[in-house]
Amino acid sequence: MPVLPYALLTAVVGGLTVTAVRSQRSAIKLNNRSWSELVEELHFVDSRGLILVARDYLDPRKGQIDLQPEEIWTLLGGDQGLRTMLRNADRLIALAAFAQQWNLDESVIVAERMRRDGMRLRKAVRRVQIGMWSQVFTGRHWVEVPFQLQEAASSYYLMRQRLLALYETSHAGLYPQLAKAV
Amino acid sequence: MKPNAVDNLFWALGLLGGVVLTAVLLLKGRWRKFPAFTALAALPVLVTLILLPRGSSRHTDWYADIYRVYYTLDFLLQIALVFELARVVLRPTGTWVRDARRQFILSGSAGVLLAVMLTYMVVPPAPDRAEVLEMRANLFTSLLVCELVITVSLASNRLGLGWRNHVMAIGQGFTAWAVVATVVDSVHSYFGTTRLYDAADYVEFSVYLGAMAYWTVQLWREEPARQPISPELRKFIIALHERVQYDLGEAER
Repeated sequence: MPVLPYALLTAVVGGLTVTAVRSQRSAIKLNNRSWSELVEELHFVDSRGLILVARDYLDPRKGQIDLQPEEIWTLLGGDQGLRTMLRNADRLIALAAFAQQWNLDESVIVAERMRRDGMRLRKAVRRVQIGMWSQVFTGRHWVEVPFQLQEAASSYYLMRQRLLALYETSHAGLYPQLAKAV
Repeated sequence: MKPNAVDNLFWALGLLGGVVLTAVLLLKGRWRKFPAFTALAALPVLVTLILLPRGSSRHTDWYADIYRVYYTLDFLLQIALVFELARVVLRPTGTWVRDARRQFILSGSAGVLLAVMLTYMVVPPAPDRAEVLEMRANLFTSLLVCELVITVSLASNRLGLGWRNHVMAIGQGFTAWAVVATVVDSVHSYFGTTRLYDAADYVEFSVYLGAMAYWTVQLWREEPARQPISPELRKFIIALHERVQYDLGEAER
């Protein structure tokens, strides 16, 4: 009897079993998380720098090209800042989804809009990372990086604003704590 | 092969479980939200009711034909159930959550390819070709269903979509059973009909009975009610929805 097909089958079935257990556990965890647990999981993002970069991109005014790429990079906290935004993005969506228990399908719309921002954020950060790696190996600047940085900042900013607006209206009591966390 | 006492016990428990589960789904009106799941629960009961009066003629061609149709329908309903779970979880507003459909189709297609490849490579030891084909078909269906249901679960987790109680219960029971069925069919494909055949089947059926009991209890219970939305928030969300279109347009420029 040939060994390879059965070794492959065992590996696939083992992988499926482990994945099934993990995915079910995280689904349960996702459903059981409390509001404060979700807020506590948010990491610090320098909102001043974020707002500056995002507004410069979303709401252009006189001198709109004054912000230099290096400045944008620093304002967003560099590589660490981008990673934090990515980690926080999932939690922001979870916080929006959390509001489903109060307002049925409508909060799903907000969560869905934030999810779209999240996709854009992930895509932009991925491109920035590719650009940075390319720069390390080829020594050439990737012209797309500054644009993607602004894209990432504006996506995260929109997610943040949407969430704050949702809670400001629906849960004024929770709003100050959330505003402080994000 | 004549069924033994354990076979009969499992058969009776399966029939009883199927009747109770189907009754709960119909009486509590859950069939409206989960039609494929209801059909999947009712199908073995229906088949048993058709075949029961002809118990002595079990080995006729007619009996085999009914079972072939049953297994085909069962497979199709399992696939339909995966899509039902996807519809409830990944399309909460009636349209697919952004990126969920693409992810589901990509992972699903990869799952089909993997299942085809593995089924093609594995040749179970069995005395005749029909049994080899049957074991391969079972392996293919269990691999495919298992991969698809895991895909739905992974996609919903990644997108931060919560599962409400009923769909969560169906998903959990179905995943547990799909995983065990895949393990059992893999064991069958290795040992063929020579070793562990009945024992592995009993394990799979025990898990299925457990899942049926779990579904019955969970689907009998009501889901916790959601708090009603205030008119103020409703207005706000509609306004936000419109504003978001503008913001996204700006961001995409």
